[in-house]
Amino acid sequence: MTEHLKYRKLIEDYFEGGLSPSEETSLKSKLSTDPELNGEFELQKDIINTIKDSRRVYLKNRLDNINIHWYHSISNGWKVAATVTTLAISGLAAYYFIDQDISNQDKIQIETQSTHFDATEFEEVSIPDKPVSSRTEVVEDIPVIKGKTTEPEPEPVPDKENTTAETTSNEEYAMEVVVPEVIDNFDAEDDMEIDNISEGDIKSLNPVKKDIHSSVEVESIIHKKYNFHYKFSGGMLTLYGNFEDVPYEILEINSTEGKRFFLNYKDNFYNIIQTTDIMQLERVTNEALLSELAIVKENK
Amino acid sequence: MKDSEVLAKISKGDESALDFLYKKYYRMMTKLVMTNSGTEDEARDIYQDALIVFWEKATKGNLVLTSKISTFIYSICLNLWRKELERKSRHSSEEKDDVEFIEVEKEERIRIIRNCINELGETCKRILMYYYFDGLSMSDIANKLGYANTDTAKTKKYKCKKRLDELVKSKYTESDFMD
Repeated sequence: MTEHLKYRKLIEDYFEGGLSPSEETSLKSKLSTDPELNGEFELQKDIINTIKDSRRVYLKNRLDNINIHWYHSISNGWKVAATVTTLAISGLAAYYFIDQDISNQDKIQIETQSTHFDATEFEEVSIPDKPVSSRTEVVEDIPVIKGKTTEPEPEPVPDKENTTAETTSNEEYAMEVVVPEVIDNFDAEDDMEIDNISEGDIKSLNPVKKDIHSSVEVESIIHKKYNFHYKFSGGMLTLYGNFEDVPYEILEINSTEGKRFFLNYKDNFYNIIQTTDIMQLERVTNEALLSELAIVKENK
Repeated sequence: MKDSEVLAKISKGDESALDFLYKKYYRMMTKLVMTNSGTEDEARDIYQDALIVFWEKATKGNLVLTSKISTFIYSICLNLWRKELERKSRHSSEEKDDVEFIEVEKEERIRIIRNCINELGETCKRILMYYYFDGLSMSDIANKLGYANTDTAKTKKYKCKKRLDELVKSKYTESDFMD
């Protein structure tokens, strides 16, 4: 090996961290007296540094593509765990709307909330678009799913009277429930205490998922003018007012007639409709609907 | 995920651990900058840079943490933001001198090298980045890229670096000639 090649090898080893102290001293001594070799050294230094910079750019781009908006909003706005619960419910809502005396009208399959629930296993079934006020209305509003000829066993509903399970029919109402994981004991005021959030919790907050089961993105804003209002457009729910004191839930109910959303806040339910205008939150007053929403919330 | 688990993942070059940290401490770290005269964009930039510094140290595998990861990243953010404030302060008062010419020449060389890196295939780029920046072992690189063994990774890395050197030298010579 010629001396020149020997030093080129030393340069290579230098940037790969493989030089002994004596070799490093020898190389530096040579570089100070050999401009050509020093030029090669500087070029290699630039190449390695540019490779490193490329990696930094790659990682920065990766981080840039992480949507932390929702997670950030939750962190800013809530002292207590802010729970956004997505319930894609078909049949369940209908089920609760149905009076238990109409047991021979429809058969309902009910699945209770599960964080490991595979929503794709279930079929969407419409629910009444409007709150029902009487048993008769419920019966009329319940859609019929065609093509179901089997009569599966209805699954029991926790805390429900026995008559619930007896609500059967020749038609089946399947339903789906998708519930993202919920952060427990989250205190946004104490940044250093958020270590107890698991990786799964963080992933569940990532709103990148855009399929039909995706969560609604929620942010709360303190506003001078609007103190109990909302805007809901493009999957983004903006709550105006001080929502920091107590936890809330968003109930999302899917049906073939479209999604319906309700805000559960301080033991009250509020209608959420798609709107690009800022609207005042209006309480649900229909007793039947309130009753059913309470049951849905209880059993989710 | 515990700190030890995060470090274990990072030492293997598992970028999901970086994503995890980014989300987890986003508010804490950006707040530090934003409450110290920084904009949200600056805060995000500083936080990302700090995480990458942490990543670089952690992937080398010789990082000994005497505190929580969050505390460590926080201190990096703090230092980076202080430096940035100093830089901004200097930038507004400093006159440019003839060092500028040398910097332009160096910038041109860096630009050429960057272009050459981009001319490499994606696999070559990744191998070189994992090796020189992340300091991953050939075994970890082979695992990440799905090679059968470390020898394949070594050979690939050697060829990629050789290819890059040749590209840079040819482009840099062309550039000299054009000047």
